[in-house]
Amino acid sequence: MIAGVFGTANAQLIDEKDVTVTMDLQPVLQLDMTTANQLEFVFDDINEYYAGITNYAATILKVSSTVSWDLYAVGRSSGVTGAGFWDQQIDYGSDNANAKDLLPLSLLELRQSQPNNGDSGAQGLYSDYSSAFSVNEAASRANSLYVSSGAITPPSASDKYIGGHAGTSGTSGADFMPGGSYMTQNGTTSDYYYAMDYRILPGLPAIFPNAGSADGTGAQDIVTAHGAGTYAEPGVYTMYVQYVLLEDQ
Amino acid sequence: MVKKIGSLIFVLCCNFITAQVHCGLVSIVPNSSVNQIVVFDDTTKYIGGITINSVTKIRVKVEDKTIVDPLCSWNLKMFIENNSGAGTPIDEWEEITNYGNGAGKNPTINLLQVRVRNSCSTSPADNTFRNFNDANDILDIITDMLPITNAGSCTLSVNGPGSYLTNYDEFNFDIDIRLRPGARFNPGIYNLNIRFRLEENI
Repeated sequence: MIAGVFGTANAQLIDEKDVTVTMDLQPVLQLDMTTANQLEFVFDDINEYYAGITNYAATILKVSSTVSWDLYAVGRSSGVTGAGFWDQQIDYGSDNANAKDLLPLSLLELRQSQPNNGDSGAQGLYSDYSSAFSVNEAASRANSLYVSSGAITPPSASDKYIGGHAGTSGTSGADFMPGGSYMTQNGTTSDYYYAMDYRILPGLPAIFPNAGSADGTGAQDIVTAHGAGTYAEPGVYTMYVQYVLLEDQ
Repeated sequence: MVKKIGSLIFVLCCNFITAQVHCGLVSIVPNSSVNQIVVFDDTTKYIGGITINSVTKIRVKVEDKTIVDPLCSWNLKMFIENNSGAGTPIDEWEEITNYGNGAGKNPTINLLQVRVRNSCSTSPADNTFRNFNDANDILDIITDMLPITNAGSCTLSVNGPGSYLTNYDEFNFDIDIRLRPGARFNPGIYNLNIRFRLEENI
């Protein structure tokens, strides 16, 4: 009986080899920017005060990211003249009591070439910079630069982003842009490629009528800030725009 | 009498342990494990992917029994393992660690592509990248239960006795892998194990 059992129990020969693949997916957030080191707006003609000066596509932003992302622009300066204001490098002529050197950073206007397609959860009046620049007679804060008192703090749900927005809903299109790269996009537009236009419109007198609060609901022009009869002091002023690409979290 | 029965059982047990069906030896040389680390740390790698040729070589050695059995033949298969017993979804890589919040999706098994090749193109899937869809998938290199094709013929599905030492182009398989994750998955470290199984056909 024992012989019968063992006689039918032959073993199949098998050999094995293992190859373990360990994949390390490191997060990549890459913002490629093509721009001049310095953009100059020289107002030396009355027409330029009236019409403003626009630099079209002065900055090209190209995004590559492996994670969901937000992109925003924030106006900054060293703050020597005042936090949230342009740095005055030199003033021309004698000081007049109505000539104010506190020029709000938000007087700079931006326009992005491609609407923000990750902002459906935004709560503000303006969620991005995609509006066309306003005509000169009508003050508009649709394109005024987001400013956080000179800090780099991200905008809130009421403020402007270029791509994505405040919040972590996890819902695609609500408050983030999905991972991807401008290099694999087709067609004439892309959510990963933005051409940025810049405009400064002083007006006459130079009060910068389009300067506005971060959410676009409050005016920050010179007259509103300092009273009737005031205007921007002639001189040289500097500031910088910081573009921040961050993971949506 | 008791001693005789004991000897009989011992002999039968030994016979059981060393018994084969048709072949005398079936072996992958060497059969030590390989661990390949693939790092994605820039956009080009994410988009273009990473290909590693000859991540390992499967060298087959199959010998007849002392008394030759004409039915000795073999098959070679690939299995995929993702530690699903520990809760890994059946179609995903095993998560070792996540970078960041891990709010997205972990990589799926099908992004791993495997290619098998040798000079005689003995595998029907020779020189073709294939992928597993989930941990239950099995990919054939040399299919089981085929009619015997003897070594030395340098043709499709050679599965008779032979060795990489004497018929290298038929009994050696170069294994290539390709990973092209794109920007779809959670950053982190993930594992998958490819198991190559060589069996004699029964």
